[in-house]
Amino acid sequence: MIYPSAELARIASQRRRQAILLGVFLLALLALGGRVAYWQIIQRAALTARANAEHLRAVVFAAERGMILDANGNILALSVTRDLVIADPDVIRQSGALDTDAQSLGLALNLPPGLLRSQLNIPGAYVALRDAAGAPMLLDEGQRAAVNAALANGALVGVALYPQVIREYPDGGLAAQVLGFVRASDGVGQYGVELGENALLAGQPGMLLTTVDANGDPLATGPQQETPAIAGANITLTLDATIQYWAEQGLAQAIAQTGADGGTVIALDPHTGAILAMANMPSFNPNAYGLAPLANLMNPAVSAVYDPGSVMKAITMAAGIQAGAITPESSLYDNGSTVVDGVRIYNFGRQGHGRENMVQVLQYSANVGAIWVAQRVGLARFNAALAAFGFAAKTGVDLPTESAGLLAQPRSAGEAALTLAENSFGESIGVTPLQMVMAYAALANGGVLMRPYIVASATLDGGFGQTLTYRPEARRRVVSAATAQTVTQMLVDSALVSEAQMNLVSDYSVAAKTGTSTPDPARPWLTYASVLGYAPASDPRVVLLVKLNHPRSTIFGGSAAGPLWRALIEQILRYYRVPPDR
Amino acid sequence: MLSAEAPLDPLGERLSRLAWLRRQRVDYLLLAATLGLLLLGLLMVYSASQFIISGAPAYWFERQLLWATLGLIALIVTARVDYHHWRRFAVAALGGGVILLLLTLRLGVAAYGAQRWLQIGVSVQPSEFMKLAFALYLADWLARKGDDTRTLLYGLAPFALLTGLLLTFILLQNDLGTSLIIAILAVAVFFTAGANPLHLAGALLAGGALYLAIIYETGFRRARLDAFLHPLPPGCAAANSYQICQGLISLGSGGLFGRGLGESIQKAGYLPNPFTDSIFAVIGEELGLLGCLTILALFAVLAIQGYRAGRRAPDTFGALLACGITTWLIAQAAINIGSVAAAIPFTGVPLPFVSFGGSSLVTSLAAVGVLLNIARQGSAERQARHTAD
Repeated sequence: MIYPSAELARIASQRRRQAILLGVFLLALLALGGRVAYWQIIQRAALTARANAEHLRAVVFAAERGMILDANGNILALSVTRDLVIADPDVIRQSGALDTDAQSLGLALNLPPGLLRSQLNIPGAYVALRDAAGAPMLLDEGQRAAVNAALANGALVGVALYPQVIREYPDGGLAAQVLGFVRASDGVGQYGVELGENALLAGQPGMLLTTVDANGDPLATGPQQETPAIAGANITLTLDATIQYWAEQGLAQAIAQTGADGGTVIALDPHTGAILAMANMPSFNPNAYGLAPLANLMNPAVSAVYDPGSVMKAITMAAGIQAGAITPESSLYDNGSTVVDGVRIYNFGRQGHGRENMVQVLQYSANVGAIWVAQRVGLARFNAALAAFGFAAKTGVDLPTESAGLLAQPRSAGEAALTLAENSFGESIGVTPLQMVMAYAALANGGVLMRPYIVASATLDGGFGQTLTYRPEARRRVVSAATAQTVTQMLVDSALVSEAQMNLVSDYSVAAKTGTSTPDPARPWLTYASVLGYAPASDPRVVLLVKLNHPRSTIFGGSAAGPLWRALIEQILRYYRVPPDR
Repeated sequence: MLSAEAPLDPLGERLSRLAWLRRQRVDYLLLAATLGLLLLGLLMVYSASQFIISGAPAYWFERQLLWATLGLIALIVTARVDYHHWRRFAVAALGGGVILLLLTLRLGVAAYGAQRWLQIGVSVQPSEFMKLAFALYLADWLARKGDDTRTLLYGLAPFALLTGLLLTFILLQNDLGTSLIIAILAVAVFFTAGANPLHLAGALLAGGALYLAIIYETGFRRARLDAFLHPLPPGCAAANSYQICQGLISLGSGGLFGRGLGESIQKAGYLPNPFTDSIFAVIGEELGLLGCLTILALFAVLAIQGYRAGRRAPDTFGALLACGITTWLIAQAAINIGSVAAAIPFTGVPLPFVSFGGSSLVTSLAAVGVLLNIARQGSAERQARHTAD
């Protein structure tokens, strides 16, 4: 083909211009490559993080909660999986299976079919069956097997079993206020050890990271990562279920016999501070905590304060002896009353005892004698002694919601003198039952105050891991060993002839004091009646408090709380095979 | 017959087949790049559309396979038919295309659903066919003009009028992407045909201003411009930038080597249009930067070979036709990839040979057939000239 020169020039121009176009587009493609590389290399980490935030969903599954065991390994609380019967009433109606389902379930659950039929016939697509009492129907082994058999042979339409983890307390209400409970809605411990040790009991929840699509449904592709759950720790308490049971039974009986509103029993090892029993009435059943009045959930042994009354006189004596203000042989003339800051304070029954020594003050529980001792000790030293024995401060027990107690706040020197006088026999001071027990425990422990505790050890990872053991902890020396010994002997001597009839405790010498406080002067018949003491006096093994709130048939510590105190101390010491010292 | 008399010699037979292949004078590089894109596209359409219809993971793949078959038949036909043959249909093709466009516009106005149905892209999109028809018409028209192309009255004025009218029709269809491709195609062909650079610069300025005006006039497009400037809002929460944002997350999470074929997570509902306009993002996520660069390289080969066919075409018509087709395919690829990579404001166009879409695929493959025919005739002429020398 022959081209004219103009045509040739035009072709050349066209070629040149196409080469320019090619160059432009190749540059554009190169730039795009750079742009893409920018996102895929430089921005990679940031964009991958955004992708993960979009794609990954964390499914958290709870760890198995640890058990709570008593000192002997008896299970006080455990988590179990129980089945709930759930049903789809719409499906049941559509398949006309209402009557056959009710019949089969009634047979399997041993419930009247009519009760089930009405539950299965509610409007909607979901129902969880309830028992005759209206509580969610959690199946036992036999019921579960029966329902499974019915499901297997096709006798049940629109019915399924739904496993639920629940917290069970095999002994029902035993030590309920010590243990607390686990809230079903979120599995978090409430009150007591369940709350105090929740972090240990709960363990570490596991997590499954799954890649999901835009609707949140899991995808087969994409990264997956599973972090296994770590089971909670098994917690072993210092509490002895046997002693706890005796304490609760005895307390219930004493309340029934005296017509009291309630009461508290604490048994504690004075050498270690280990709590052996802690019982209160009224209490609750943690298996059905929802039915309990809110007021019953707290543990009054550590949370409630009361005027201890005359049991405080042992502390007054200890302060006096430690200060060198008195000896057991010191004596005063007691005409039945004394005047402090213009207020006349009487002995019980306004009775005068004439000349009395310190053991007799304890024996008669003479308020005039106690005031005399406190006044000899003096305000500053007496208050220091109260603080040393642990009053108006938390004991540090490993139980939640502990109260620090209350002290009167005098506004004048006169009021201070009156407070001192009243404190000497346990009035105008608010103490928790555990504080009072610890003060006596210090006397029983040669003058050294321990920290009370109830968690003996925790074995991690559902009992398969490391065991953390909690050691007894001495807080401070309160009085000298000699003082403790002297006060103990005074308590023994006075108890032998006191109205609490401690001489009825066979084989063991006891150091104990009664207390009867009347916090409401308008209603002097409403008392806190208590006995607090320890035994055997030669080598105390147990400090025991029995306290009744507002006993009616008899309102005095010795007569109301004494019988239970004597019975329990004897039972406990024999249970521990403590050799008799009398 | 020679073959009947030839002995049954396997080596000789193979050699003779090789000789036959060479005699075909096929631009194998161009064909290979096209087929490479097509195969990669089929693979990626299958992967990216897996979750669209649950229970039917191959639904869109099967349809794309059908379109690819039709497209390859079209390619074979156009590669074999002398491209000069199409010149006779240039006016008719443009006229028919415009009528189809107007029909779509009318249907779109009369029944909104019809326009959306067309925009989903399962069925015929006249604007796809329009690209090829316009390339053909421009090549014919400008080849006829000759040196008049350079003049204002006979060159620029009718060109601007014709192109402007066509772009108006397409813009009325609310299809900014196609209009942009056709504008680039027209400018490139006009430039190659010998346009006065001053005229061209003026036209580009005026046209650019017009586009900017359209962008600022319609709030929707302005929002897209904003989205381009801020492509990654927290949580991809802004509606306007959602697709860009998810596309960039796809690209970025793919990294250098990608999650692996079929492993995209973004396609599971996060990334809109994963097997059509956003397929490049899925490629980036599954095959990484290497996959993306492979796609870009294949388009670069297409550009080199396409403009080479244009440069070597035996006549101006062939040169301009090849230039138009190549420019269209490359510009469309650049706009698609540029949109996904947030290099340009988001413009929804399919990635040629790769994205799902029958109209686009068949038209593109037919256009490559035309390119192959031009390349073949160019090399035939060179061979003839070589022999003449």
